[in-house]
Amino acid sequence: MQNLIYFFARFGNFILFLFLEIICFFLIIKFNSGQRDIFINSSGFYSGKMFESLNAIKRYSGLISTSDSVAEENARLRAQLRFATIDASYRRDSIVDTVFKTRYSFISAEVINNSINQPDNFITVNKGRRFGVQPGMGVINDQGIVGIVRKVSENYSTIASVLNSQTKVSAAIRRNRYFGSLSWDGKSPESLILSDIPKYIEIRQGDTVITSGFSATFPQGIMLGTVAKVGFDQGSSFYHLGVKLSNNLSKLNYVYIILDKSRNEIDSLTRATIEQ
Amino acid sequence: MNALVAKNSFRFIFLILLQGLVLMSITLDYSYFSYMNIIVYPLAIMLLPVRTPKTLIIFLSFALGILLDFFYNSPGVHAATCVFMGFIRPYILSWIEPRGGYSVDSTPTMRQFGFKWVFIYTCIFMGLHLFLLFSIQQFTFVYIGRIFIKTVMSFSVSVIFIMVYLLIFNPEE
Repeated sequence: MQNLIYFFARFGNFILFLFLEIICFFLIIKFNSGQRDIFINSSGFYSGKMFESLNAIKRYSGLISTSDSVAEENARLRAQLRFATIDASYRRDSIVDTVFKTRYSFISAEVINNSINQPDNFITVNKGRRFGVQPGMGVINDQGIVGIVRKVSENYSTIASVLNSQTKVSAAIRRNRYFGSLSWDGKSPESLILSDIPKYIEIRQGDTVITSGFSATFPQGIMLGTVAKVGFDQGSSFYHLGVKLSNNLSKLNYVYIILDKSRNEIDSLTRATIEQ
Repeated sequence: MNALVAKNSFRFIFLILLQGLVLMSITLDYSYFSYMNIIVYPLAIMLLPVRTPKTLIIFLSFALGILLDFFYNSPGVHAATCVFMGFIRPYILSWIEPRGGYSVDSTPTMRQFGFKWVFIYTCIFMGLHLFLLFSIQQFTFVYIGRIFIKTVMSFSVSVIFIMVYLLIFNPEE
């Protein structure tokens, strides 16, 4: 007891000082938006740097599998080059080709922070506003879909991965083109739920699920997964399909952020239509 | 004793109103002069009697900062700075202690310690206060250049204002 009194007599002012400073900093972070952003943003400066250096180690240990997948992707892309295909379809003249203008371009980014076991999972990558990344852009890698860009800072951005309760993707069955909405129920990082597909359509186990291309976020035809479980919603007229994700999100290294050049046009057109 | 409390309370309120209603809204819109803030309210802490209990100084500083934050609409920024200055004031005073030491009823004023001593005290106190204030305002040392410009610009003008204040009112305690 005596020691305690002695302790307070000696350090009481310092403790009071620390206590009040903590209150002040709490107030600062709570009520000043600028300081709060600096403090919170995981794509901010210091945490970004920290994640980056941590990831440098992780990346080094995964170099072999990364180079394998890069090589695979190279081979596949080479197969799509003009000299690798036989062009028999159309005659090239001096016509200005307005039909096949590039709509999508891709920004390659490196994953510096990732999680798969939270209720809402986020991924941080090392490309930000400076490279043209904007919130709402889709993100894929060579195996399929990854997520949607949520927040963007100067050099980093955070992505709400498909394993996030707020991420909804418009998906379609490749065989018959019927489309529904793909979301995550928060259970297993390998399975997603595809809903809104009417019951009268025939769905088989093993059907391939791809992006529908109806939103301006993802182009049509990106691999999502396969139907693993066919179920029904109680009391509704829709399927409740379990989809096995084709992409292994626990082993992400590089991703591509999709830049849709028509996005603004489509968005403003849609908005104008709805408002009318 | 009561007169001392009354005088300090009056100064406390007067400085808050002076800072929050008048000096806060003075800004110059010309190149580097826009970084200039006139800050005189730390005087309320600086001029407390030397024998004021440390705990009371810290509490008063917190109150001063929070009240200023209401005017500046920046909850916590001024308070955090003031609490730190209140905590460190005894150390500054013992650092620049004059040869004769402090007596029981010493107050850091010109009448008791002379112009030069008060000027040094003001410079140390305001330099620390302003640097801390602008650091907390920016909240990151990425903008260290801007913090320094703001500190230097505000420091010069604030010290002038404080010295003028002290010369005009010339408080004895």
